[in-house]
Amino acid sequence: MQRYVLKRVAQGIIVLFVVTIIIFVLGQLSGAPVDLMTRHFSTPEVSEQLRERWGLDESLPVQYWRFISGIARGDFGESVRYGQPALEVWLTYLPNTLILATAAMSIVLIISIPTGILSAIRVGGWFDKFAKIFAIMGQSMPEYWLGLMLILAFSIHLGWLPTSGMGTFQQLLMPAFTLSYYFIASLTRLTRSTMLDVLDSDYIKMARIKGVPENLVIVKHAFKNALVSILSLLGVMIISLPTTSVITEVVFRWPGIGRLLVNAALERDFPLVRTCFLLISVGYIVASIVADILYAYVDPRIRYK
Amino acid sequence: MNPSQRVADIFKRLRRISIRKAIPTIKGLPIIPAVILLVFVICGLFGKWIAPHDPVKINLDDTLIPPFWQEGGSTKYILGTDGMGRDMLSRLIFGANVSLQVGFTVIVFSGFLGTVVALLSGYLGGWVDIILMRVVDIFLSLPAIVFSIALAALMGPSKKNLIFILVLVMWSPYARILRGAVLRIKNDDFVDLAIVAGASKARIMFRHIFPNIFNTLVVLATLQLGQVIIAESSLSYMGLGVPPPEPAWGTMIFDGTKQLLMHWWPATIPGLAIVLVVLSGNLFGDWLRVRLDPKFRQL
Repeated sequence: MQRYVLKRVAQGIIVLFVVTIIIFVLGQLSGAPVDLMTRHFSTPEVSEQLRERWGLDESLPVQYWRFISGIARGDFGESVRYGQPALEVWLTYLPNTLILATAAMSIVLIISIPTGILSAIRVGGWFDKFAKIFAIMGQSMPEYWLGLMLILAFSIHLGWLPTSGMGTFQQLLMPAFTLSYYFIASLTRLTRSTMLDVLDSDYIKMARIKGVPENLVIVKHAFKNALVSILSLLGVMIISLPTTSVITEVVFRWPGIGRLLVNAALERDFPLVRTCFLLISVGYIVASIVADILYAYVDPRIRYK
Repeated sequence: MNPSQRVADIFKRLRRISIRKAIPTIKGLPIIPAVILLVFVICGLFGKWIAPHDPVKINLDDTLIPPFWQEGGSTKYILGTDGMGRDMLSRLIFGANVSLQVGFTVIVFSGFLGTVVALLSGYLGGWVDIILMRVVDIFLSLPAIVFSIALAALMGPSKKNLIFILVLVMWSPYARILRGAVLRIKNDDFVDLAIVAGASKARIMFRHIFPNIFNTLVVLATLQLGQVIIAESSLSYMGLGVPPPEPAWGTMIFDGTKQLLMHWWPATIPGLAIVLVVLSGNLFGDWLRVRLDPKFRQL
C-alpha cells in the first residue's frame, strides 16, 4: 500500500513539473509578454526597464528557475489587471467556485441515483425511456448553450429566476443545474447499467427466493453492490467538477476561479492566467491522487497493477 | 424452461431494448443520425455553393429578422438574421465548414498520434512502453478545459492554434485504448507467423497489427467527433477559439447572447445545430461500435 502511495505521489509531482514547464515554454513562445502588455508605452526605454524588472532578458533556464522558486515561495507574480499578487486574487474567488461545485454535486446525487435505480427496476418502461433520452441529450449538449436556454426559459420568459450573479439561492439554482447536467447524464447511465447487471446476478435471485421483500432486495442487496462502481465515477466527478465549472461560470457570470481564468485569458493578464492554470491543475492533480489512493485502499487489486 | 430461467430470459431481453430501436433503422443503421451527419458534411464541404447569402457581410438594414415561421419573418432569410443583419442559415452552413475542418483535422491528428504511440508502446513493450505510457498518463491527468483555455490565452486565438490545442488534449485516450487493443492482438497466431516469415518489427506493426485495430480507431474517432465539436464551440463562445469574422457556431451563440432578451433565435439556432450534429455523431458511433467491434463495450 505504501509503495502504491509513493508511486502515485511521485507520478503526480512529475505531472506538476511538466505542467509548469508547459506553461513556461508556451509563455515564452507566444511572444514577449512585455510587448503585449506595454503596447501603450511607445518608448523603448520603458520596455527595456520592464524587461529587466521582470527578468525577461536572462537566459531561459534561469528564468525557469526563478519561476519555479517563486512558486515554491508562494509568489506567483502580480496580476496586471488587479495589481495584487495573483495568488491572493485566486484565493478570493476560490470559495465561490467551491460553493457552486458543492451545489452541483448535491444535485447530481439527488437526481442521478434514484433515477438510475428506478430506470433499472422498470427497464423498458416509460420512465426508463425518458431517462435514457435525458441522459443522451446531456452528453450531446454544450454546457453553455444549456445555460443560455435555461436563462431564456426561466429568466426571460417566465421571470422566475435571476440571470446572473451570486448571493441568493435563486441565483445558485440555474448555474448549479447547468454544471451538473453532464454528470447527471453520465451517472444516471452508469447507475442504471450497474444496477441492471447486479439485479441479474445469482445472489439477488437467491434473496428473492428467500422471500425478501422487493424493496429490501433493491436497496440492501442490489444497490450496495452497485455502489462500488458508482463511487468510482463519483470520485472522478468530484475531481473534475471545480475544473469544468469554467463555462458555467462564464455564462452566469458567477465570480469563481473559472471565470477569473477566462477573463484573465481575454485580457492577456499572463501572470494571472498562469497562476489560475497552475493552481487549478494542482488542485485537480492532488484530488486525483487522493482519489486513487482511496480506491487502492478500498479495492486491493489496484495496488498490484 | 423453469420460472427462474424464464425471468432471467425476460430480463436479458428487456435490457436489449435500447434507444437505437426507437429510431427507425435500415439493417440497424440509424437513418436520421446518418442523414444529419451527411447534411453536416455536405454543408461543410460545399457550403460556399449552398448558402443563400454572404455569411460575413454586415447588413444593417436587415438586422434581427425572425425566422420565417414567425411574425415579421420572410422566406428571404429562412432562419432569420442576427444582430448584424447576417443570414442565420448561411452562417450556420459556413459554421459547419469550420466545425468540420477543425473536427476532422483534430481527429485525424490525434488519432494518428495516439495510434503510433499505441503501436510502439504495445508492440515493442519494455522501456518504450513504460516511457510512452508515462507521457500518456501525464496528458491524461491534465484538466482538459482549463488546459485549453490557458493555452489559447497564451498562444492567441486562431484556427491553427485551436487545432493544436485540441489535439494535445484529445490524443491520449486514443493511445491508452488502442494500446490495450494492440496488446490483445499481439499474441495472435498471425503475428507469430509473420515473425517466422522474417517480417521486420515495423512491418508487423503497420501491416499486420494496425489493420486489426483500425475498427476500434474508427469507433473512437466517431465518438470523439461530438466532443471536438463541443470543445471547439465552447472555446469560440469564450472568444478563445476561431476568431471572428469567420462564423463558428460557438461564436454565433456568443453574439446571440446579447440579443437574448428580445430575440431568441440568434443564440438558440446554432446551439440546436450543435446538439443535432453531436447527438447524431454519438448515435452513429454507437451503431458503428456494435457493428464493428462487439467485444468493445468498455466505452
